[in-house]
Amino acid sequence: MKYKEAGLVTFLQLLVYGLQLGSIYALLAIGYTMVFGIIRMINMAHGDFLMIGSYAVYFLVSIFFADQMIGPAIALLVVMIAAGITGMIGVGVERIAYKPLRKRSTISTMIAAIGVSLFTQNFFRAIPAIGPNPRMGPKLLVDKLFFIGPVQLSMARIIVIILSLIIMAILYAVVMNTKIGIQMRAVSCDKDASSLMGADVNRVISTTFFIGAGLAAISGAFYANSYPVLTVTMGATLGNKAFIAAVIGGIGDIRGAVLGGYIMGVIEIMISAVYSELAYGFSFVALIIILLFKPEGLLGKPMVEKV
Amino acid sequence: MSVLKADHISIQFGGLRAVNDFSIELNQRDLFAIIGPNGAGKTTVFNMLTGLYQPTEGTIYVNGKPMNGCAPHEFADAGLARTFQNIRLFGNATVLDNVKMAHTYKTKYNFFNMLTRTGNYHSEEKRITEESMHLLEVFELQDKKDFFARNLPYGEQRKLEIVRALATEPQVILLDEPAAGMNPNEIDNVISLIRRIRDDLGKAVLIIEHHMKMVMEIAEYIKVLDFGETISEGKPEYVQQDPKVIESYLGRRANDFRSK
Amino acid sequence: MKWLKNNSEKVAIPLVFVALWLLKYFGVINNYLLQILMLAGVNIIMTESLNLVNGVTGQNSIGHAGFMAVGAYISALFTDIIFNVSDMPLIPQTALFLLATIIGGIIAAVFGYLIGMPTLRLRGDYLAIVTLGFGEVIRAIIRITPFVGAARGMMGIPKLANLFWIYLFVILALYVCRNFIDSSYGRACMAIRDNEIAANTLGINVSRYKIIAFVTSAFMAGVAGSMFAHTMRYLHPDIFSYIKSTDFLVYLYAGGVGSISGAFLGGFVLTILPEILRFMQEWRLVIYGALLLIIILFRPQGLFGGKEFSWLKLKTGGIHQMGLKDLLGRKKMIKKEASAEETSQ
Repeated sequence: MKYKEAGLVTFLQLLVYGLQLGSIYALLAIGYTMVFGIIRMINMAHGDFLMIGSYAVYFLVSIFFADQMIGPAIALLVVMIAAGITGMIGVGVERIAYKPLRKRSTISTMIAAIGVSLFTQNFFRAIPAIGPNPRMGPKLLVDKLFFIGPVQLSMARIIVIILSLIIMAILYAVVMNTKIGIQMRAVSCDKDASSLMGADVNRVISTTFFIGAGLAAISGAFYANSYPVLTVTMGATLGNKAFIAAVIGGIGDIRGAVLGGYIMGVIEIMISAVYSELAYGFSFVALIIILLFKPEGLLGKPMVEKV
Repeated sequence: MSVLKADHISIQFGGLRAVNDFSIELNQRDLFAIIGPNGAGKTTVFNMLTGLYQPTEGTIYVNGKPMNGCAPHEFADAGLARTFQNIRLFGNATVLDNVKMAHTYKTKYNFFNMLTRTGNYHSEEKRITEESMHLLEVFELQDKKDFFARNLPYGEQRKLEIVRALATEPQVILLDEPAAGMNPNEIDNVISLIRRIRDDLGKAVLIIEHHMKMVMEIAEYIKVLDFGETISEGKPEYVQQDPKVIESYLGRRANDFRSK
Repeated sequence: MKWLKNNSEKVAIPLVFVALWLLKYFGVINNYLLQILMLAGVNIIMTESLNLVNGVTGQNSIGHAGFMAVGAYISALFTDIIFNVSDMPLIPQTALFLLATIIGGIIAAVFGYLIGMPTLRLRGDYLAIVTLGFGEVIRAIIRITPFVGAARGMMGIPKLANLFWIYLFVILALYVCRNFIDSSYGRACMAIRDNEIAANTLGINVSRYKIIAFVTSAFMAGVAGSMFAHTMRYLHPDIFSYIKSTDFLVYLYAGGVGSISGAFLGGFVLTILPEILRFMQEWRLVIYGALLLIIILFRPQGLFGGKEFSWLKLKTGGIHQMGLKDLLGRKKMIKKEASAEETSQ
């Protein structure tokens, strides 16, 4: 009996870990899914926005606050500014590297994204202010541990989960109800028709990249808060997993990205509790299984070509 | 024996019955047409007859062979070829290669022969090239053989699509709006082209066409579709007079006006 | 004399090898250069293999390093662990090496079949995602397999690949790709690339040809993997990450997708280029990334897309033939092409 209870406690603690990691994946996966939904492109450089975001937070904190502990309000402000900066970078990247390729195949935009990714990572590594050595991520939140019954919980993790949920709820409301959100959905259905109906396609795509990169930056800040090692390649692996999350959920669908993100996060934490070497490979096994049985993803709709 | 026979075929998409109880039977050298307003289900019939859609009811026979559950390439093997309303050429291949690609399923050498260029690789390649060139010559496209298909003018793209379909040596060929977007002069060319396919090559032809003058001129038998139902069929003279046909073409428009 | 003019490649191919061998013999090609040349050869085979799927058949495989890993590990398992060939005399050693290479290729091809069978039926970018997943799963499996070194990597693989074998396999790869494209197989694949539905209604069994191209490609990747293992003498699961796969994609799309010559030159030039850029130290990959972006933005078909070496004697595709002269006089050709493109559009 006691053994069973201990198992449950561990399970609940792991679940919180998993949901926190899942929040990070979900925020990142939303960017993949939105960009794919609107311009049918797999943005291989999306993970690098996460890296840029976490470095932006790092520099903001170390320049303006000289590494002192900062209060939660300022921390939130710093994250928002970092998200804004990253969002602008995202818009710039789209304008320079992706916009000229809109009429080309998925794969050539993907190669362009690989070029962007190679360039960004190595550029950051080459400039002396960042360099190849890992940096210690800034602590935005002081973590407090507390107990609910026998379950030990971490305040910081709970806050990350709650904040992520709030952000995603806001995003969903924006996409469903505002004018720009409606335009986004229209453009993702039919670019030409929506442009005829008065939607400014370029503005919609820029907004999408701004939101996607901004969310990636926020997820970077959250990630850095709990796993405080910053490297220039940190975005690659995380980005890959978030991409898988987006595909599992059904790429092109925001709710799918969120669902996929949480599934990935929870599964990864649970499996690595048993055998850590397996976690990464397993996420791909899960992906392949889902693709074989439901290729459009859990919430996606199948693509049909009209004859 | 009929070369193409559809026996009471219907298809349903979700709750929508796109085509209901359609039947047709083509013998050699028949030249039939399907007409009807936009959205009547004509192309859907073609898609069923060529295996792109599986009918939910009924059976299709090609040269007497029932084709239930067959893939499009098996329809082609059985002796069927088609063109598309929105032209589907192999744009990045040359005109000659487009025709040679249609010879694929009849090619008689295996993977090993291909890799080592042994067996009848050379003789088969020679035959394919010669036959393709011959077809291009018959339809006066030989001068353009090295052009990329996407760079051809519109009319010649349609023609090439027909030539490519003929290269599979079908018994019956289905043409989806062969005269769409053409001027009267070009339409005359299409008419003589279709006649040659039937008279000189001895194929059965089934066409979908909006251009009434052309349909009335060449078709021997016409089926009229509206909302997936066959509302009339018969010789051109009969169909032309049928009040139901007139209503489906003209009456609808009157209704439209009323609803506005 | 006329025969020589028409069949110059039959003389040139052995001559180039003799020239390379002489350069090596007299020390002009030192061990460092030799290593790079051999790696370039491996990369060329990989890029050609990828071209069969991405270029000729128009399917997107983005995890080809997975097949390479299978070939590399299987062949190394064979030569290093099952038979310890290091102590054998030359002839059985070579025979076992070739056998291991072919077995590596066959196992990679089997994996190709298992992955391709369910996914190639699906339209869209599913193949891309599944191949990416496959590459990572293979890596995860290798990581936990103790007898191939797990996460430590596999060391001390006998150095059996040499300039001759790599050269031979590169030529074989070119030959296979040329023969494939210039046949009903290649034409069927290109028809599928350009319009799957039309290809299907013309009697082309779409999934069959996709599978044939994919399995052939996986076999070649497995062979390249064996060459890689016996050149580098060291394998580690992280070598074959998706970053390696994207390398080959970059070689292919920068060189010219769909073109044998483009894949060849892409693999060759882009293996050498980072080495030439080495003097720029940490900036070299920055430049490399920027160059890649510039090529994709301003040369949509890649550097050599739509053109083939004349000595390949390709009949399919209506491609520009490119001789040695054109290669040397690149500038003129780019101009000519630009004007040709304008008129064609």
